[in-house]
Amino acid sequence: MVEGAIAGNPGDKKLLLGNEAIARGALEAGISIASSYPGTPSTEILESLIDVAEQYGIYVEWSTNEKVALEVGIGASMSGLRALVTMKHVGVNVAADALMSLGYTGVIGGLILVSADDPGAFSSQNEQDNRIYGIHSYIPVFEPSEPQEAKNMVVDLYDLSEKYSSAIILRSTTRLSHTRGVVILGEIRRGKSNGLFNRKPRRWTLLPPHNKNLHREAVERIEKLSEELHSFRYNFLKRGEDNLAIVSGGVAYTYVAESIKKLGLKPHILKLASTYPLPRKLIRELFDLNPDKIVIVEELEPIIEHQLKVLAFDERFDGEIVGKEIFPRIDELTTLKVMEGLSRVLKLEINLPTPLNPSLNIPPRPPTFCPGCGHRSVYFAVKLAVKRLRVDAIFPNDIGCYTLGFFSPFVMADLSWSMGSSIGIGSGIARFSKKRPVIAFIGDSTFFHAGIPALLNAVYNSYPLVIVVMDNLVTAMTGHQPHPGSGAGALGDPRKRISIEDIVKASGIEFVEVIDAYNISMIRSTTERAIKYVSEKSKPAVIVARRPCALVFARLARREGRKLVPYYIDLDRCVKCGICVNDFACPAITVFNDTYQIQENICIGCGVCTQICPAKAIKRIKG
Amino acid sequence: MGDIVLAGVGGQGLITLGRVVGEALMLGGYDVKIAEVHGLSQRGGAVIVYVRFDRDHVYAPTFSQGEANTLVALEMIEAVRRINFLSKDGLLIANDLILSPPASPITVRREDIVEEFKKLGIKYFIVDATTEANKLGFPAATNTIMLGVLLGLKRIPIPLSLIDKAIENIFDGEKIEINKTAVRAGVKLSKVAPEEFHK
Ligand SMILES: Cc1ncc(C[n+]2csc(CCOP(=O)(O)OP(=O)(O)O)c2C)c(N)n1
Repeated sequence: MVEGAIAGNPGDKKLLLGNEAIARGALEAGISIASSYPGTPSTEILESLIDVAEQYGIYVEWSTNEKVALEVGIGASMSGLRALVTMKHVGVNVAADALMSLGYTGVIGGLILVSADDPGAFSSQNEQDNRIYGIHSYIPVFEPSEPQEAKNMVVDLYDLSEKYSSAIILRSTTRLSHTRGVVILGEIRRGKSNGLFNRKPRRWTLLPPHNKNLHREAVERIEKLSEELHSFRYNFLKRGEDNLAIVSGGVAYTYVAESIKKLGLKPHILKLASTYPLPRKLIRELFDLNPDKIVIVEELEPIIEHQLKVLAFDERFDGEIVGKEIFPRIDELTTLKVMEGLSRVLKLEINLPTPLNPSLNIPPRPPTFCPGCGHRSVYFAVKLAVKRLRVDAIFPNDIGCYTLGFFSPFVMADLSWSMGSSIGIGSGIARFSKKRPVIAFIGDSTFFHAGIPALLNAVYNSYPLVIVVMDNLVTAMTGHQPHPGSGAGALGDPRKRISIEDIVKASGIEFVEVIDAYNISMIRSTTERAIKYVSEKSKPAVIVARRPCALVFARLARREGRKLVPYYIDLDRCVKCGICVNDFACPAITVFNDTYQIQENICIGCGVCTQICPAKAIKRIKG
Repeated sequence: MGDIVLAGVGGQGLITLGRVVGEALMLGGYDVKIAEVHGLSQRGGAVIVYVRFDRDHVYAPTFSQGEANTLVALEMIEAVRRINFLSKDGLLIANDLILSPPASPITVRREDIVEEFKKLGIKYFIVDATTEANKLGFPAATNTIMLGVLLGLKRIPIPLSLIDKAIENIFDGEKIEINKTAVRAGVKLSKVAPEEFHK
């Protein structure tokens, strides 16, 4: 039996993802609770803690959204327990209201909020730099640069959090979270399982005049940290021989380390783990070395740079300081970009390899709906409905696997904004769209996360909006985490489902239909009715299109030894119309030399394609 | 020092392949960094994994274009897509399989891809790991067969015994034997020099 990724004895060497290393650090620090809402690149932190939760008595939770996740962690911390709260960068926007108050109140039990940022926007709507939240909320920000350092730092940060009564933002990035590195494990501490609520109304109840006192305390806390953080062992100043200093932190530091090796430079290096506040004493020491130039290498926004420049002014440092005029604010850094930047600053000639440049034109490979995915048939059917009614519908979309409806052949995402926005922005469009129907698509997890307030708003203010809930019973895109409609908890324990249609009905919506997402004709006809209803009554209508995620379904079938019987195309009947490939676009159906074929090994046997084939050429293999 | 790119399509087991290679290298006493790019969808998109190892400390998670010694592609279109990472004297190991993206506007033929490799003047080794995997009765083991090829062509400096140990550490139950068998099949494939092993 393979044990959990983060299990193991002190001294063991393991190849851990940055996210797993963070989780292991929290385990070694003796956390009592970990809460999260999934989001790339943060998800594996909680997932790896789930594997060991029962063994070490840690309470783990996939919360309904990030704000709740943070609040649950705050409650535990008030009760003296150590808490880990994890989310992707945009999740912190959702949690920000609670976060700002946390900056004032501080904590009792150590609390780390992991913000997994995404420079390069590999899997996100933006590249926001959440170090800014630290500055905004008076919460110190720490950035590890490698998995081993992340593991060690998390352990020390829990002590620091309690010593200064301050929450901590641990800022990871995709290249830390999703990079494996060798990690030597340490001792595991068991967290407390009983909390003792600390009644401190002057601290926890943010009313005047407490709030101003707490504001003062927050400022003082950050000042104190700035004076004392030079002794935090992950901040260090290494003297070099050149008249140059490089300041860096996080993953950017690893690119600096490689670049100076390749370029044969020997600069002073200030490596920062605490990028807010800066460790003032180390900065003074750096200025005292009197380098001609200080080069700041950091990803995204000039957070170190702005703070350092202010200190340089205060300390009357008169050397040159460069940063974002050399290194781009946009996109992630690479060793190559850092080498290019340094060579520009130092006017060095460097020889970079010219990459091979193939001339063959190859197709892009946009992500697609899986074979058997219910989202595909819903889009196909709604498109038919719109065509039959000859209306020019507007499609606000949301965030999840279903956003892939943006791509050809569906092209049914006129906007994708932030979680829940399909209903909110869709409402704003619908109020003024006249004859054009507005059909908003929203996933089940997204509905629970942020869709409900917008839904209530749509009902109460009578918006003519068709809402299609794309319900696959899990949070699919991030790897099938449960949500309140899933019927299971984080550990897979059965729970009572909260029904989306019950919530919708309770809100007063009269047009509520629950339909099998595979049933194309039903979805088509219901959508037609919904469009008419909405325009006649000027009220919202909701269609819940439900079908378990095909990956979950196929995995379960395999585990239970059930055979998935694939379909095939009867070439005698096939009229080569191309609908199955060009309009339905199931990856299991391919065409080669004008011959249509179903790839048996990827077909999961959903059979939806039989509904869309006008020649009835698709048949089930007799097994 | 070695920089290897693993390329393919989501669902082909690239991340697992990276884990096994990394685990074996770690067991062999190397420092290792493996950067995984988890794409947008659960299945179907283009996937890339960077593997870096050294006797010294490896800092950066990634490397740049033109720097990889080896490119292992589980699919031929992806081999072309990622060839910019390969250094001019590097080796491409490609699985003889084309997965055309659904509803794709462009169709690419195998001949054209092979012609492109020739034009670029790179060393390449094309091997039909998917057919081999099906022959073994383990269609999901294409990735570990490719690992065997990588090992057989001496692109990773570790003995088979450590690959076995890595497989035991990562897999469960019957998958351990399946993957060990697959690696051996891959090593064997690397010895029968196919006609398309070009220098
Ligand atoms: C505020 C915020 N939190 C988390 C995410 C990450 N995220 C992107 S898609 C997604 C899953 C949505 O699940 P669901 O709505 O059920 O759609 P499915 O993927 O299952 O189709 C999540 C959690 C995000 N983009 N924004």
